[in-house]
Amino acid sequence: MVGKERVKRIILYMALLLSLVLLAFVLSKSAVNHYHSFKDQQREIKNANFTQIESWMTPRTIIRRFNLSESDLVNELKTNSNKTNFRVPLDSICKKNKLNCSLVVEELNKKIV
Amino acid sequence: MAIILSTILTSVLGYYTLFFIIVAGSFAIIPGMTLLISSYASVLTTVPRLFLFILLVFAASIIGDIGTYFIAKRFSVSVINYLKRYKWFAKNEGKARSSVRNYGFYFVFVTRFISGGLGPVVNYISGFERLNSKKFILAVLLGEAVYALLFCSIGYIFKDTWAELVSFLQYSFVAILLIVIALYVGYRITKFYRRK
Repeated sequence: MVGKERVKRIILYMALLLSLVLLAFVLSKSAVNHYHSFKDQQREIKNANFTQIESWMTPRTIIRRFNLSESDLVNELKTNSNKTNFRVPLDSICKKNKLNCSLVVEELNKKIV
Repeated sequence: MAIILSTILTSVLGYYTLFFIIVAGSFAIIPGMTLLISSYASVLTTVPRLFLFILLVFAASIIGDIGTYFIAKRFSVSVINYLKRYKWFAKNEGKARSSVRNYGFYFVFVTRFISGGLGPVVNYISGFERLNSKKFILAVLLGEAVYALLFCSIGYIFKDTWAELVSFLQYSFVAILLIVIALYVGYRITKFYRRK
């Protein structure tokens, strides 16, 4: 290969390498930022200070956060453990079981006090 | 934000619509496809439903990828002939074809879950350059299995924080891919520089 063409090719390769490294750096920085946001959100959710049970909470959240026994919760929802989906919010379960959700929430809050 | 997005999307889109969007995502670049899938998975309530959803994503992705590949393969001759009119393409076509044949499998596999944008492009290139269909299908099956399992599980497990985790993974995957390509270019430069 002629000298001039060789130099041209090397410059082209170097430019490509530089742009790849720069792009990789920018993306890595974004990845790190997203990771920190993820960790922050996890921490926030873990440390969130809910003092009362609310209708949007799922049975799983209520059991974990308020140390309420599964049987108490299931009794209040007038169903049984096998039938209850622990990832569905209380208001959906109430709707399905034709219960007054605000009353159920009130009763549950009395239990945790 | 993630919760609001999931609620809106899942109430607007049904499973059939989602299936067709995923199939279409193999033909053309649809931004936010992975976020859509994880968002859907985040509102699923039971493990059997998650399993069915993973199957739906897996099936739709495979149908889309294989469809794109065979359509591209069908028009391969006319497209390549058209592109050969350009000097730069005619000069490097042989090299490109041998690269696709040598590294095609790995590239197809990796681009299934690395970034939504690369998938359709690689599908077309594999078809135009006539990558062995058995190799392509195997790479698609393995890659899409990783994709469906990974992003659906993230949505299901991290119900409230999946959005940041998905973005983190996508950025990291692309950054790793770029670093690998940069290392390869660096290797080529040193090889070229040493050549007399």
